[in-house]
Amino acid sequence: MRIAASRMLTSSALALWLATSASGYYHFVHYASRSGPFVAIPEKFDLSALPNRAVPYLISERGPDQLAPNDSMPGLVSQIRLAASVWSQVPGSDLRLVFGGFFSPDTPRSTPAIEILFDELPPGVLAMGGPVARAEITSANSGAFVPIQRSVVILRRDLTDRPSYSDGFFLTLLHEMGHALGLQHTATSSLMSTDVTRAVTRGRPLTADDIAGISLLYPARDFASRTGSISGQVWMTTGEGAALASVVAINPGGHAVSALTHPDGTYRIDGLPPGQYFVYVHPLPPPELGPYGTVLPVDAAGAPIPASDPFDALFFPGTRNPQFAGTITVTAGRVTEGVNFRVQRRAATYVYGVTTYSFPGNVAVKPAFVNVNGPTSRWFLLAVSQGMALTSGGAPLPGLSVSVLGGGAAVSELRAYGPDPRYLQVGFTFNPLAGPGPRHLVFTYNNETYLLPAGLNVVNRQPPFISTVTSQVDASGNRVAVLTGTNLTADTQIYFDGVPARVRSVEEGTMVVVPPPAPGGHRANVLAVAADGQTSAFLQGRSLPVYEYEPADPPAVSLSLNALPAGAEAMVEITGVNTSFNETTQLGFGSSDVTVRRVWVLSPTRMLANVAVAPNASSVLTGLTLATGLRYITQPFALQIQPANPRLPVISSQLRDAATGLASVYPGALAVVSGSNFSGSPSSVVVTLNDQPVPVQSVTGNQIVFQVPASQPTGPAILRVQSGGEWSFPVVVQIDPPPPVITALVNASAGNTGRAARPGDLITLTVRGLAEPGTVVAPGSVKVTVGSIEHQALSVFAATEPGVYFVVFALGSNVPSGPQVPVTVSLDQRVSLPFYLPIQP
Amino acid sequence: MHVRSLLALLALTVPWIAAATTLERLSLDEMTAKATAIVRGRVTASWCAPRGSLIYTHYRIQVSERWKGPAANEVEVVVPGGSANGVRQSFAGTPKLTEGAEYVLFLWTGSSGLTHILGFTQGVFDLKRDASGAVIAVRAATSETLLDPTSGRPVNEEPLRLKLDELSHRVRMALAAGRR
Repeated sequence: MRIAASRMLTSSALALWLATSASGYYHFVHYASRSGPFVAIPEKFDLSALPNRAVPYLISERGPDQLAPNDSMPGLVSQIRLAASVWSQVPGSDLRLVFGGFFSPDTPRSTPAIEILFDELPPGVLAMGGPVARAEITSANSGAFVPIQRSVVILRRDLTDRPSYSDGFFLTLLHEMGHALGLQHTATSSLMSTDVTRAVTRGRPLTADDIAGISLLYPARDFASRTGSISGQVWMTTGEGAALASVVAINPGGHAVSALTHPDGTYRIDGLPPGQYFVYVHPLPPPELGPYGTVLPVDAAGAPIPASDPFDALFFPGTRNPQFAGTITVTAGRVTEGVNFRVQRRAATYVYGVTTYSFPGNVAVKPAFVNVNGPTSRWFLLAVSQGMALTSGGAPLPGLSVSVLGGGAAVSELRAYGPDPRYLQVGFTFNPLAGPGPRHLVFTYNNETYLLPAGLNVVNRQPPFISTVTSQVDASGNRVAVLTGTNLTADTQIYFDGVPARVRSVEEGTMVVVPPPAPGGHRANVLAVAADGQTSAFLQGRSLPVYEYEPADPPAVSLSLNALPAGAEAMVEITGVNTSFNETTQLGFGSSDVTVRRVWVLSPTRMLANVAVAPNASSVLTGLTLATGLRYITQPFALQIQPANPRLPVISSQLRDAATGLASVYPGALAVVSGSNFSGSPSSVVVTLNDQPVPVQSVTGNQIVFQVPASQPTGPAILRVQSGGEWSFPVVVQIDPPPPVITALVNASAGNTGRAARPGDLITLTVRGLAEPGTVVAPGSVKVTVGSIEHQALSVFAATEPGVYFVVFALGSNVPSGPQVPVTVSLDQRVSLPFYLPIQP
Repeated sequence: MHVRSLLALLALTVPWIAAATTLERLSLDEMTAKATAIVRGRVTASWCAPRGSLIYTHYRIQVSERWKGPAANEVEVVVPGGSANGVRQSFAGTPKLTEGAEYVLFLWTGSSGLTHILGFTQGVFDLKRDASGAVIAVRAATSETLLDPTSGRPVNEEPLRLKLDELSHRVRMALAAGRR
């Protein structure tokens, strides 16, 4: 019987101030004191203090000494870049990681960064990661935090046993990057769980818990409004709060999101996608209680605050039996309060840290995936516990039972695994109507309950398998790779080492892809990743097929600029020979003090970049790293950082519209260029766009307002400023098309009643200039902002009049009310002027 | 308490730093084979020093028995983490040895010349006496386990607590097997 517990609970509007929501996620946490009320103060990078609000990552120029067969340095670098891109694309998070190139650890830097190091680690240690230097506590609108100044990810110098193309290496790298960004271990089988229970794959590397954890540290503007929260308190039956208890909200067919309780037992789980959840509390597993698994929070004196004694795991509303657990309804933008627990202390926990494996082929796969359309003889997994043996005397441990939370699958058999009876073999039957996805296993032994999120992943087909990879030339003379195999479908992603390949065509068992750029003669390991998270490594292990590139002449590049003063920004033109610059090309100067603000690729051999040097950068010589696909080019001694020049006019490449303040200017607009060392009146300052003087309207010490000519073509243009008789360095600025204009708004839900809009109403905007006439606009790329609440467009379609579009969206439940609530529409960086809408509560 | 005073208090804790480690479970046989030295000894001194961007804690061990490796009365081992120049670094998963305490340590000396503890917590056995006076070797639990991905066979589970004589015997058996 399930209790509709949600009805008994109260909900309250979610405060946008996230200080208290830096609740108890698994961050590196500080507390102001050892007595409540407790507000967690996490360690994180201060994005507002970083150029482009992005965290640079730098790769040590001293790479690994040894690599596994078929592994390579370009392959390794591609995996690091891929891992960074995973953390840069978390929905709900503003975090962006930017490639900083190869660096020398001896080079002084002042700007925070993540360093990827290769060091001597003893056997048995795969990697390390986390913050290693930080600044003093900072207060911000989002709450106090400890700014990370430097984090490290330390990988082994000897990677003979750990090829970079293996799933194990990639997930470890991604996990350690998570530590470097401020995340600790969780107990929800997420990426940030230890390798014991981690149930992610390269195909689906992040779970909802990872997404919540990183989004709480680096939230996107609409994160709080798109997710909900659960709060409450955990007490021991003896009355005191349970410290560092793990409270988990778990969707029976989805993933889990968790939080740790504060020292007084209070907690709040934030970042929950709306839906129905079971909620349970469990003690951290024994290794996590000490210094080995989790770094304990500290008080103001730096003394660790320990976890409470172990206790019996409990489901809300106070049952050890998940069958009697109630569900909690989570609504976007709201907190469901009062989800409290009273837990019974116990001497020790015995069942925890269960690892599961399955056998889709001949290779043991972790995490366990079972194909419900495969042979029933494979509908089983193997389980082993960190705590105690799950088998005894060649049979399941007496008193042990295993079940599946919430249905969809049922345990049909428990027995000791024949080839090795220390492993528990768990057989299943499946509800044919239940869809694929994670299933959560419940282990009970005597009075102890342990829940393993995503202990089983249900899929409805076999993993992909690549039989052959051959190089061919297509009708246009372009090199393609032809893959044959099984379960290669339109939604299968192909990776060459760590770089996704563009899929040209897919037919039964054959796939044609465009190999990404790579050095001549490079041998790329080819991996297929299915949409359900399975990869071809499930069947092929580390014996991946290899694509060998044709020999090619080595590339080389030259730069138009080789010195730049501290604090300055300048356009650098990069010209290449045998290069293949494209939209994925990244460049870094081996120092977090040198930032590449934006890149324009003009051709495969020519690109422009705006490069900025931090004001307090040391005078050092830095090297350039340019990465495209699997190819990277290094040029030592590329850029000399010089002392700041107090007379030099310095300009920023980021123009702003003088009327709106938005970071987008267009022909005919008044533009603001900010900078320093401007002097004189408008008549004594010269501003040029593409070497043509433009009218200057006003000049202050750090801003110049000028007119963008109405005839100015859109696209990149070169801006220079002369002030005090000195010319600034040129920078590239982007001239955008004029912003879209909302010309009309129709509330279909209100009809002709004339009433003010209200949440849930379906609204259609008429927008002029949203995109070039004839362009098909994807609804996912268009955002409508009402007040400060972002909405996704439901549909976007063209009107009969050229250049006019209709944008349809549903008014969210948490929009502000008022007689004139501003509504804007945006596509990419172009944001319309507001259109005002009356909204009733 | 006002936010400002909270911040002032917390500023005192700035040097506290943390990170985490990914371990790979090794069997006792594997540890014996991969170790460059296995010693029984007592910690006589410890100090911290930076190396590159990391701080290491150095431990001096007075060796009383040597089960593997070259003869020496003393050995110096390093563990990532520690305090130096006003900065403290701490890596979850790394062992912390206590001055005066006695251990059996599985050690590994790399090409840098530094001697590390093999597998971090896996390579440390505390020595204690039980009620009968026998010396017991106890290893702290780690949070890693592995199944050999190629064979599908598990890596051997190791007991966390055994008599020193038994540990010594098993190491010597493994060494003998390795020589054959």
